[in-house]
Amino acid sequence: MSRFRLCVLGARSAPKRYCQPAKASGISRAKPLAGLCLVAGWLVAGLPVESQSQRSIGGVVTSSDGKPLEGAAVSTRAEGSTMTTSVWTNQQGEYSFPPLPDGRYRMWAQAVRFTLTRAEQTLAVGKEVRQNFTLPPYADVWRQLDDIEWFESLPDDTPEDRGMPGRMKRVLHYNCGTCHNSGYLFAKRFSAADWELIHTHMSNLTSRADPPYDDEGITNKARETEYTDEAPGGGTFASPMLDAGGKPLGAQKRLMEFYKKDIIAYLTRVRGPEAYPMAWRTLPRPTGDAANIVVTEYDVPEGGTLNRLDPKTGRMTQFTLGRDGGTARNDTPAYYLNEYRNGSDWSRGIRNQFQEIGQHDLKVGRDGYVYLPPGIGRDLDPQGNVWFSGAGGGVKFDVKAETFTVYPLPKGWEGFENGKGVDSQGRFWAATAAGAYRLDPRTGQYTLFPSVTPLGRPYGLTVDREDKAWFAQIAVDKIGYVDGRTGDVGEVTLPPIADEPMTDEDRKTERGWTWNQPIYGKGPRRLQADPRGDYVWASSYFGGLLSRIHIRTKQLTEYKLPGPYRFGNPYEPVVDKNGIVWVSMSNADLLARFDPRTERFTFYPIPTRGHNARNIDVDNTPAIPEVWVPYQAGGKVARVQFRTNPAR
Amino acid sequence: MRFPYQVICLVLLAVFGWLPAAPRAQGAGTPSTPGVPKTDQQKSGEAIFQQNCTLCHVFSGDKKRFNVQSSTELIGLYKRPTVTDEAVRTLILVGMPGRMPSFRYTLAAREIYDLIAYLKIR
Repeated sequence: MSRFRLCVLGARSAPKRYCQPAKASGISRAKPLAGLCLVAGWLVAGLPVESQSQRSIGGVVTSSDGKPLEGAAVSTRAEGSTMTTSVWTNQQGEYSFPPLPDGRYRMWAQAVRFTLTRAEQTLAVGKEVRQNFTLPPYADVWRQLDDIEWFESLPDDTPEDRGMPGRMKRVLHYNCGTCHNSGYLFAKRFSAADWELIHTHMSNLTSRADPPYDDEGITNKARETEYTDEAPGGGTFASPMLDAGGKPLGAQKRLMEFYKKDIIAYLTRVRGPEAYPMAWRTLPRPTGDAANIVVTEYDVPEGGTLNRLDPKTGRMTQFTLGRDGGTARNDTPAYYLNEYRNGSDWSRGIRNQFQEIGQHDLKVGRDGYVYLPPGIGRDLDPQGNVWFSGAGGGVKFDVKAETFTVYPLPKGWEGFENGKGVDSQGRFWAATAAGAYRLDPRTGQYTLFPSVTPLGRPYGLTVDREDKAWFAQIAVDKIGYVDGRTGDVGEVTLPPIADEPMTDEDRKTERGWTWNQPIYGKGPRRLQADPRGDYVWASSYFGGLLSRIHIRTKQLTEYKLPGPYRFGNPYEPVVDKNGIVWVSMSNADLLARFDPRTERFTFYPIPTRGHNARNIDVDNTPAIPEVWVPYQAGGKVARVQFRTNPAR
Repeated sequence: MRFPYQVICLVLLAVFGWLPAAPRAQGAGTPSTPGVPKTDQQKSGEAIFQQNCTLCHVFSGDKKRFNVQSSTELIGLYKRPTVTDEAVRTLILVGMPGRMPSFRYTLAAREIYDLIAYLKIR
């Protein structure tokens, strides 16, 4: 769902340039002396500059019976800081934090099935700090579960599974999982009548994503053909389903109605008034490389405009586009956070600091900052400027001048969909209902390249190193492309899922748009090209798999996420300088690593429950690349660093 | 047993069903602003509200988008003289048939107390 639906503000014309100078107050405006003074100021103020101290905190985590707990998460946060650092214990139950600045620290250790235990420590000159934790058992394990642990724990042999064990998990995943993390849904229990009431409400809600989809009719204009947008891919349904008033149901509501009886019966059986004998199946705690990481989480506000994060200090600077066209620059103002909602304490079972309106995207800048743009979709141009969309057009943020430039879409042109990218010539690309737009910033001219399949709901977009723009068509399981050098268009089709439990009737259901899909669908959502290689990587959100496409031969190879991770909603894949593919997971508190050479996945823990990661990025500057993860629900962004010392 | 239940529902409907439009912080046309929790109990209650109530009790400006014309945003709920802790607790536990689900199987007693503490300052 695009949160920043754009209105068209201007005609096709030269871009509006907003070049009012920003008020100078930071180090990034090419004023080295001012920058040095500011750093000195931070040091004097005792703010957490990493080089200030080499001291750290370490210790051992054990269970109540004295046995070491491997893979327990230990987190710490300095008084007054907006940064939380987390590490995990090794086989001996030992943990150690990286060097931390002096200060007073709150600490907590936790693991599923054990009680979160807190401590406080002070780091100061000449003091070695050890803090051991003993974790008692915890009874209400369901409150602590990761979202895919909920899926692992659900029964898969109920009458509603219709002899196809695991069918109902998929029905719920495909009909509820776009908007609801599993824990949000399954932690609730209602009567049959109340589940029906909720189903009706959700069914009405999901129908709001049904047509009219192409509001401006640009698909018809571009193709000079009349397309009916009742069914994804264009056309009408062979057998209409009607509501009580005789009106035909849209694509998504058709799916909700098709599965209505099974959904209500299954939820009432498993999460109803009678306690179902759930077997809580939890994932193994992280071990080895998966536990040998440091995750630094930074509190961030909801978004809505461009924020710039300094990773060293956690300090945020906010840039806003004024009505007069000027760019205002300020420290990000204070904002409200509730620790009961931020997912740090897993036993609170509540994971929705910002529900679906938190930070969706980030981009690691070439200037040492991390940029948090509004909306969905972003990229850097060859000069390192940040591109995204808003204010009725493509937006460039010049990182040196600290000014916005808006390139308005022509009047009457359908707005952008989610994906954005920039090619090697500095041209901005964006997905749209009819295919893909390309903007030449030198002229302000937009060009539309219609997709081969109309109305497939273009979603994520990326540009490869040969200037082909690729876009996922989530509603029809196709990946479209435009050759930016020749203008040729084409698409690659992802075959339907054939090896999972579903009935013949399930296989006959028809497509939805973005929120609901038939359980044979894959739902390619985000994709990224390897900037140094010959492949585009796409993640299929519903299907739980990665697709690799060769940018010239178009050869398709698919890799399914193993076991329970299939329900983790793989979101955006990003390739680092070593060719490793990193994948955010929006329904599992994990970060996935895929090595194309060994074709193996590794899953790294994220210390926040229900973090709901979205569009991630890799910082290739360090010897070992680091991964940056925005938590759309958790109200944070995280830096994941990989340690090399096995002893820690 | 049905009669008292229906009576309870009618009473609850009378108390909650036609709440006036919530007071707005800055006048008509501006977004409503809920109170900010200060105590741990209120913060816990806000979290429970976010987790269980917000898909129906949306802000007034979002009602059309979420297709929930009949619910209220529950800002300023306790300014209504007929609203009592016991009435709110009963409504949360019993629900309203066809309008609001019962949370008796979802929320523990402590969670309902926390939720009420939050509703008082929302």
